[in-house]
Order: sequence, then structure tokens, then C-alpha cells
Amino acid sequence: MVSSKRGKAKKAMEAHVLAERVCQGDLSAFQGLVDQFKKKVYFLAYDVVGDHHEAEDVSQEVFIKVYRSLGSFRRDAKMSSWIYQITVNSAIDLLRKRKAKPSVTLENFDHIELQDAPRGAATAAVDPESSAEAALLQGRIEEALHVLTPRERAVFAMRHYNDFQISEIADVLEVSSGTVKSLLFRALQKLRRKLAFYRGSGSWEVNDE
Amino acid sequence: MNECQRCRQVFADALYGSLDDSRRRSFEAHLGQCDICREEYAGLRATLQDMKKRERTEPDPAFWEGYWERLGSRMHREKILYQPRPSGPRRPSFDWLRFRMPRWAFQAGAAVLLVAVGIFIGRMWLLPPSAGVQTAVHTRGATAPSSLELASRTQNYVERSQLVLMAIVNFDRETDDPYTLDLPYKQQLSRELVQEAGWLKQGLADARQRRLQELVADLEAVLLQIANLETPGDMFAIELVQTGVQSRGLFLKMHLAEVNRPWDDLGTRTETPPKTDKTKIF
Ligand SMILES: [Zn+2]
Repeated sequence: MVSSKRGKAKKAMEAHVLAERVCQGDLSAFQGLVDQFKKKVYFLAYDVVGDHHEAEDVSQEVFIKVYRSLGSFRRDAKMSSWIYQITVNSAIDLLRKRKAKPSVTLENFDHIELQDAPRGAATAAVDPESSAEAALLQGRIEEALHVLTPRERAVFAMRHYNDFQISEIADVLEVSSGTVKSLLFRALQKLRRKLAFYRGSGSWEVNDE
Repeated sequence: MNECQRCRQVFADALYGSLDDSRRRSFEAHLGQCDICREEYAGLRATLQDMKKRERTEPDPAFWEGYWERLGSRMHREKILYQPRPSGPRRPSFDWLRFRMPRWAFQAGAAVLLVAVGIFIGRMWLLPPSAGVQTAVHTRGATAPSSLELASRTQNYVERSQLVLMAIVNFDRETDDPYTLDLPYKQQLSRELVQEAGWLKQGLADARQRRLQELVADLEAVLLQIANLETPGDMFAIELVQTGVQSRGLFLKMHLAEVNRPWDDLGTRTETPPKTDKTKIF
């Protein structure tokens, strides 16, 4: 715990040093910053927007914004929170813009292929039946996430898919921990209703406990 | 507020582990005696467990390896690097060329290219007539260049292109005076060289010198960029040219040429002259 805290503090300091160097025109420092954050930024964006290409697009926008605004970044602020804040806001913007576009619906979900078929563990199953079941489960989870508002989805993704503590989410969103918790709770209630709907359809039990 | 309402108010805290001992005790006590709240809470916990089964698609390693390149290309494309910033610290300079390769590397690269082309052309010149380079004459007729002419004009083209490119690539936008670059003259040279490239590419294609043909084409693309610069004083335009050299991998190609020695192929090829519709020139 202590060493992890120290590691975090060291990383935070590194990020500040990198930022300082970027402002002095050191491009390799900017690459260092991108390298340090690209995975977290990309995955957070991916978990909010749910699409590989859009997630990369969002993550690039994040680094472009970071690059443009490093000069005005407050030295006392936490670099990572600032970067994730840009990430979440960019991803939410994209979801809002996308609203007009038709999305995958429950009715046609079973008939289309997952756009990004999961590799590795998810497809390693040899049994076609269980692998189809796993794909169905993944599909229903993704579908359920669509019932959330962009903000609820972002908070849910941060907490449950990106290991953010509630206090960290509060820092990133600049809200109280209480607000974060109520967003999470609201999200969870909606997800429960959605998954219960699947369960009610009888074809598939999402909860195997 | 009844007991059930009070209980539901702490669901979120209970789910996310932020109940203090006394609140937890009364919460658990209510769940113990109220089926409805117990079921509601269990349902939320189960939902959380279900949602945690989500498996995320991991991109290929190649995705991460190319990430920086793609980001950089976009920043260049969108001209982000030259947005005016009225105040604050100095805007970071985005010099991919010098970042990716120190200046000496360009000079070394250019030297490698010149030596490589020199060796290649030297071989063309020094090969005995019987092993001379073949060129197609059946369709080109009188317009087909002799390999002697082709060799000397290729050498000339590459050397002059090098002079233009080196001047621009080595130009330091931060410290050098743009007027020392004499861009109008470089543009004039580039226009002449672009015209020459058309003739050379045809000749090299006929002589089956694919690599050299590609090199001429690559140099031509950058020369065209220089020839078409509209605002010679604009540092961004110059940066674009520098990026053009880099994005075409010109210096990498030179390095590869050094390693793969495509000019060595020439010896083998000349030992087995093509059979039909070719006429020896020497
Ligand atoms: Zn109750």
C-alpha cells in the first residue's frame, strides 16, 4: 500500500516534469507523456464509447487538447485527474453527438457480429455452445450499458472497468463523492431493470449465481 | 420516512463499502426482517456481479506500437503545431524529424545514399559492354535513353535533389534565418528536377531499375512539395517538407539500400540478359 502510494506520487511527479519539458519544446517529453497515459486514456474512452475506432479518435483528441493546454495547466493540479477529465468529457461529447445515429438494438443483436470480436480468453473457448453463450452475455452487457446516460456510463466505467476509487472519480468530475455514488446507484438500477428484462425473456440467464 | 425508505437510502453506501459500523448494523438488521428490501439489495448486487463479467477487447500490440505515429500524423494534418498561442510558456515545437533522428543521421543518411547511388552508377559505367545494361527499344524507339545517358542523368538528379533536400531538412526553424535558405532558388531547382524525374522514371522503368525508379519518384514527391510551397517564409510549410521527407521514409530507404545493397543485383541481372525485344546498347 505504502509502496503503491509512493509509486503513484513518483508517477505524478514524473508527469509534471514531463509537462514542464514539453512546454520547453521537448517533443520526446510529450511522447513520454503520451506513452504514460495512452492505455488508460484509450481504455477509459473505449469503455465509455464502446467502439475501438471512436475510442482511438477520442484518445487522440485528448492528447491534442493536453498538448495545446499544457501551458495553462495549473502546476498544483493533479496531472492524471486533468487528463482523465479531458478523456471523460471528450467521450461524453461523442456519445451525445452520436445519439442521432442508430445503435445496435436488442432485436438485431443476435444476428450481427460483434464489431470488435474479443480476442484471447473470450474466443479461446473450444465449445461452440459455451462460446456462443459467452458472446451473448457480452452482447447483453454492452447492450445494457446503452441504457445509461453518457455521464452515468462514464462514472460506471471509471469505477467498475478502470479501477477508479469514488474519490478519484469525484476529483476527475469535480463533484462530491456523494454525487458520484448517486450516479453509480442510478446507473445500477437502470442496468438491473435491463438485465431483468433479458432474464424475463427466458432465453438467457445473465446471473449464474 | 419509514424503515424501508431509510434502508434504501443507504444502498449505494452499502454497495460501495462506505457504511460506518453503526449504520451497517441497522442496515443489516432491517434486511434481516424485510424480504422486499433484502430482495432489492440482492438484485442490485447480482447486477453488479453480472456487469463485472464484461470482457473488453484488447487491441493488438501493433496498435500500441503505431499509436504515437498516428497521433503525430494527425497533429500535423490538423496543423495543431502552429496554432498561435498569445501567452504562456513557449509552445512546444513539434519537430518529428529532429526528434526521431538527430541531424547527423540525416547527413549520414544522405551520404549513404550518395555513396550507394555512386556505386550503382559507377558499376553501370564500368561494366564491360558485353554485360551492359539492357534497355527496351521496341516501343520507345528513338526516345529510349542510352544507359550511359540514363546513368549520368540519374546521378545528376539525385545529387542535385540531395542538395535541395539537405538544405531544407537541416534548416533549423527555431534558430536559422529563413533568408539564408534562399527558398525561391530551391523552388526553381525543384521544378527543374521534377521535370527531369518524369523522363528518368520512364528510363529506369524500361531498364528495370525498380528501386532506383522508386527512389527517383520519392525524391520527386518531396521536390514537388517544395516547388509548390506558396508561402516560402512560413515555417509550417518548411516543416511540412521536412515531414514529407520523413513520412516517405527517404532516409530509412537509404539505410535499407545500404543494408540490402540493391546495386549488387545489377551484376547478377546483367549476367542473364533478358531474352526478347531487348537490344544491347553497348
Ligand atoms: Zn424494507
